[in-house]
Amino acid sequence: MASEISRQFAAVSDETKASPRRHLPTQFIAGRFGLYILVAIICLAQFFPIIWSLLTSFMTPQETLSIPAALFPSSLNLTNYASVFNSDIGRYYLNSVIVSIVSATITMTLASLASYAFARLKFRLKTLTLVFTLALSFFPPLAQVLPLYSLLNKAHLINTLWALIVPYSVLGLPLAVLILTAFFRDIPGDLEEAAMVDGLTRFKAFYRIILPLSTPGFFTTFIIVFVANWNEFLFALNYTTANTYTLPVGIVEVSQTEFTTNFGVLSAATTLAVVPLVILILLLERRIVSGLTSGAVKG
Amino acid sequence: MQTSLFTTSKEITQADELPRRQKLGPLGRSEERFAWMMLTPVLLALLLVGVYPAITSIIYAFEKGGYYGINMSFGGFTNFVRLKNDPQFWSSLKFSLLYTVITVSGQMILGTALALLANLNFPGRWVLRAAILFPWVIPTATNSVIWQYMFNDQYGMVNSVLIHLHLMSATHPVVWLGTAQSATWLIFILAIWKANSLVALLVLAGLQGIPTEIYEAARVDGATHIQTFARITLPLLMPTLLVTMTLRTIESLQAFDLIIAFTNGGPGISTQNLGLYIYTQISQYGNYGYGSAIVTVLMVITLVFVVAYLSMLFRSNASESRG
Repeated sequence: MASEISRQFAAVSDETKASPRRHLPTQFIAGRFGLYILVAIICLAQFFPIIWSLLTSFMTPQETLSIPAALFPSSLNLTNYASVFNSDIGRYYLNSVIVSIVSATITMTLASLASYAFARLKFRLKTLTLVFTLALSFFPPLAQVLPLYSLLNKAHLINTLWALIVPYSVLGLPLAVLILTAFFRDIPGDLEEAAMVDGLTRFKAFYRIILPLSTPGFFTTFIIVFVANWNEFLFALNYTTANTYTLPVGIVEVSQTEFTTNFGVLSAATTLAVVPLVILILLLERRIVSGLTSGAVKG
Repeated sequence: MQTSLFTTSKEITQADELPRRQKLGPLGRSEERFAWMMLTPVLLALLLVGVYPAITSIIYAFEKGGYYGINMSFGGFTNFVRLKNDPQFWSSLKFSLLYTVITVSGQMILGTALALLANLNFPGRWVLRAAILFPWVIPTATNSVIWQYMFNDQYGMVNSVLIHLHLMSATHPVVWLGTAQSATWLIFILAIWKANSLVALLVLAGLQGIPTEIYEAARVDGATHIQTFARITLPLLMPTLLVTMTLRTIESLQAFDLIIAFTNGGPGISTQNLGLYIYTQISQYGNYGYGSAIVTVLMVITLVFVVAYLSMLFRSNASESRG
């Protein structure tokens, strides 16, 4: 898989650098110009909410409450960010980080075991088991909220972060199994066989050979699962109270209770909620795209 | 050739499914035992957190009685009879269906266009791909809060820009979220904006799975761009498009956070969909039985859509393999 990805990267960069163009120069330049204008418009359309949020996060209350609204902050004023960290939102942030990372780790651990079985082992009822695993993503989460609440309540887990970690760990499973299985299948089988001939048990072969070789795929899947956890709202809204709010719920609560007084702080909080994800996609854009395409492009 | 999701599951099942009655040697038996050991944690987790709650929801739907689940008893079809006569249920259902049809169509068209553009080779393509990914990673609820603020009639950016451009008078701002019609259209626009990235990603995956030799052959044969798109790209992309449409439809039918954080169903109940109505009934009024009846209806509608799409998918596959 690792070689597969690097091969893809190489192919991509080769194509972009050395694509021989046979157009007339003027036509070519006009085409390129139009293309980049289009790309600029798309970028603006995709990024404008966060740009607006970023600008507002630097504004003073006077600026956010002026009519018509100020479009640009007069200075880089950081007091809103300071207020975020001094308010409860700091704790919501920490809750989100803990819940997202712990759940994604559990999902990945369980999913990697099952994916290994699906990708590498022969056993009866494989189709049925796989269909069952994937079919869960068709169930509405809305149907799970209430019964699961009673279950978690009996276990005294409501109002702890576990109330979110338990459902999140499971909700991510179908997608994680699907993507990881595709990655595991791409690893040549001889490596594992050689290792087993050398006396490794199957589990050790999985643990020492397959897992390290699929690090890129593992990482991609982790990011996808993490993003889903970070953004989840329905369970978080129903299973948490002020102590255990995650960031999305906390932001909505703040926006509904003190909306008009706190535009700047609210914008600072939303900006902070989005920034880690923006950094992730800027760094990992290729990995995420190739992770989702890996099943389709193997030759 | 199809989307990763589709090829993978098909390949896995075709490649090494063992015949059910085949006798296994000692080696095969140990392999099988090991496989089930590896699968057990996932299957148990799915049963407990996925299957059990879904079944319980259906059972609740046939129960009546106390609030917040206290003293519930079997009520037969009471809840469903009540549904039939509940105008709020019908208006929510109508909104959910309209929302699904309009936003999924919009997402498919825009997302596919974005994917086609992102599949071109040009320096700086990664900027476009990162921009496409962005709406997908931003938390839906948080994003709706930002949009709510942008469309605030007094302090929002949209009105501010319109006033600065002298398109609107500062004393008579448009109250965007104040009328049912504009709130509804803004929700549609927001939903299309938010999910076009996921569609673009999946379609991009499908596009990259189409072998380049086919395009070369078409070029040698002198096909125009439009012909290539209509005769090669589109038919080969069909399974991807159908799978993507299925996923988007399921999620749109169950939309919740996008709407609750943007309009909260308002003004009045004009933008309340089934998800919001279920939440109101279950979490706010404590009507577990009645809320679960709506959940059950939602599950049935979802199932109908999924079955319809899957049958289209298998038909398109069958015609492809015949051709």
